[in-house]
Amino acid sequence: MKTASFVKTDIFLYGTLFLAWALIMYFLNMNYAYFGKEFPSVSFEQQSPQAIQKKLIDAIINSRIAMAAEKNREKQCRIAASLGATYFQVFATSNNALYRDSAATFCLQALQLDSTVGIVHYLLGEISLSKNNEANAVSFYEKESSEFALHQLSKPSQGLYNSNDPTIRMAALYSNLRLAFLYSTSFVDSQKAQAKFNAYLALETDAQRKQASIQQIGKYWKTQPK
Amino acid sequence: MKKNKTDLKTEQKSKPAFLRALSQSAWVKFFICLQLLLLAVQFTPDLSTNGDDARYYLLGKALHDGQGYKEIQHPSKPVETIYPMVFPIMLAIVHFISSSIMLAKIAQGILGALVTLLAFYLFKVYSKSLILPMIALCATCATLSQFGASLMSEIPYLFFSMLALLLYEKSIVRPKNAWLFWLTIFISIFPMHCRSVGLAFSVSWVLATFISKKYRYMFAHIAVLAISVFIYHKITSWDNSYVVLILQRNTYNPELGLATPAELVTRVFQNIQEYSTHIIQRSLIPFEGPPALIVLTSISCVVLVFIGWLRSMFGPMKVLSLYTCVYFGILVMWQTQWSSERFVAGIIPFLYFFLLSGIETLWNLAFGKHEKSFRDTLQAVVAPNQTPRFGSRAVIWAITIVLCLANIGFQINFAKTLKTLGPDWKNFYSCADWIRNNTPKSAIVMNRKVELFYIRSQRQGVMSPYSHDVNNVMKVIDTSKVDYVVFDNFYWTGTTRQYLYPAIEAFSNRFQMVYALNNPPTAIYKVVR
Repeated sequence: MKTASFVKTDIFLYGTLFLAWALIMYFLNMNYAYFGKEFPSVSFEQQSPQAIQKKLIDAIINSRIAMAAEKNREKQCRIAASLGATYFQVFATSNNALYRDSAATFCLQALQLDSTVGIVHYLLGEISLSKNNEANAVSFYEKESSEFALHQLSKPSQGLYNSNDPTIRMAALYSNLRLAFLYSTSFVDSQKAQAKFNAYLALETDAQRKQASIQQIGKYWKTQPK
Repeated sequence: MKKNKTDLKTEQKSKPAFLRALSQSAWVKFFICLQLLLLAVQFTPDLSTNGDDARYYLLGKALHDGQGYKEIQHPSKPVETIYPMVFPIMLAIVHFISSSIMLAKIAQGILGALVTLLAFYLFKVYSKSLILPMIALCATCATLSQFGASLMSEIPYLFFSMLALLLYEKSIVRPKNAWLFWLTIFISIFPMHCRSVGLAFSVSWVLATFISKKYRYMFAHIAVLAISVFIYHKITSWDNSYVVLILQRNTYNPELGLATPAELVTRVFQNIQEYSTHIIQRSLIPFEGPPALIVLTSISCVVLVFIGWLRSMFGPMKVLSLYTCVYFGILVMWQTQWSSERFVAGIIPFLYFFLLSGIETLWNLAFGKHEKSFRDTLQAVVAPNQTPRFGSRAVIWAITIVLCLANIGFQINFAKTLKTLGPDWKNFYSCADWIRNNTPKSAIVMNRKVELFYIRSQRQGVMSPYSHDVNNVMKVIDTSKVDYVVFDNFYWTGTTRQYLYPAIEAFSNRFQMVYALNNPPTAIYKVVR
């Protein structure tokens, strides 16, 4: 009898103990992000440049085939702009100047087809800057910045230039930022620098990048930017 | 069997003061609470990177989903023939509540604590003097905790083997209870169907019941086991692949062929050396230290366990002693690359008991009361449930506390490493994420850990064959209609570099890199057709 009651007490006691432990473990881990976490699960920086290049070169081949077959001028322009961007990305990961030249060729081809095509001026600005031709870079960035401001104010979506397109928005954002730095260093003009930096701040949505830019440009300015 | 007042007083006096303060069952509760706390420290809601736990989880899911006992992670969904059914059935039951891996792991943790509780009820029958130190060791054992915190079959195996032994002890004192008899027989076949090494349990059950002349237990066990094996064979077309695995020279390089009898003998000696000089220490008292100290500790443990085992053979624990012997007999035949504490985990409570029993025996022989002849002295030492002397008990508790502290310290350190994935695994899982987000649901992926990759990528897969013949590798890729191959860079194995990479190099026009990562280099290749 004594053993039986001991076992019964044990069943109740251990049952409660195990249940309490299970509940505690469940509540401690219920918010654990299991499979299906954010993608990618490793940072982009960890991705191999060779693999990125391989993907980009595949994209270039496909784009060139598509461009050769394309008869529509507007579509040709889009493909040329896309090829310019892709070649520039390959140059950025490989540092091979041949890709930069190809990027410039396709960007200029896109401009010939339509002088207002988005991001091409920004890319040409980047290409000029990589060649240390800052004067040319300033003119291309200015063009990108003014095109964006023009379309954003008057006609937000028209033809090949859609100021709501996130890529075009990023091109304008970086063009303004580059100009703010160039007007603070090589072509000192505090008013222009302030104006371009304000235009950049108006487009910026990434708080971390915004803070870093403010700190960086503050090194060149007498008064800290806000 | 009742003890008189003088005996009880002597026994009470022989207990140290801190033990007298609490009853035995209160101490057991304390140790189980401590075990649950240690399990909580090590608990992770993830599957481990072992792969076997993912396989068990998927088998449970397949049973629950009504897909049968099949490997749902493979495109052809073959019937599972290697992993026994008991643990997947348990997981399928958990799936009825939730398919969450976390819930299955919580249930496994509770089963781990139940093992300690069962050890208390079982060994209480065999020895009253060693029961509390043994429970303290079981509750704090790092190896048992490790398996209590992962979805592996070691803990269920231990649970069922101890439950069968406990029921057997209860049944033989109630011979007229038919229900208890059949329940005992039914549970006694579970170890065999929980892990293949459970064959040792059935063999020793038959031997021990034959020696003890408990023939009805022997014949009933043989009959029920034969029926269950027949049913299992019908369900799974079981071909006992484990026999082939034992005979192979190296499963990871099957081209080496089968081992010769001389090689098998060498393997047995290598295993004996490995278990007695390292693995037993890591299983019972894990600690980092100079190699000489580790070897010395391990050999000391083996000697003490052997003394305790000999003592038990002459006592009432024949089933248990025979079982441990047959179990180790199977372990030493296993391929040497698999020899590890994982295989010891299935009998750890018994080893702890033998260890403590060995210490007690040596102490009593050295300092105990000596009879007229050595034989009488030996008989007095071997007698179970004798009242222990204060000196012997104090020594046992001192050693127990040291062993417990070593195990607790190891578990706390292990918990820190358990919760962080290595960079090779991070990259592997990143590939699974990429596959999940960028490929059709029907895509088939060749990778090194098909089960883990399937759970994360939700895509079926096959493993690269262990073959140096690149044409053979390509044949598997083509016949299995593989769409993507994952080139991993696992630190723990070189099989992908060894077998898959030569094929990628030889047929570079058939593979197009679509995703790649650095540190360590890891890539996904699309197979071009």
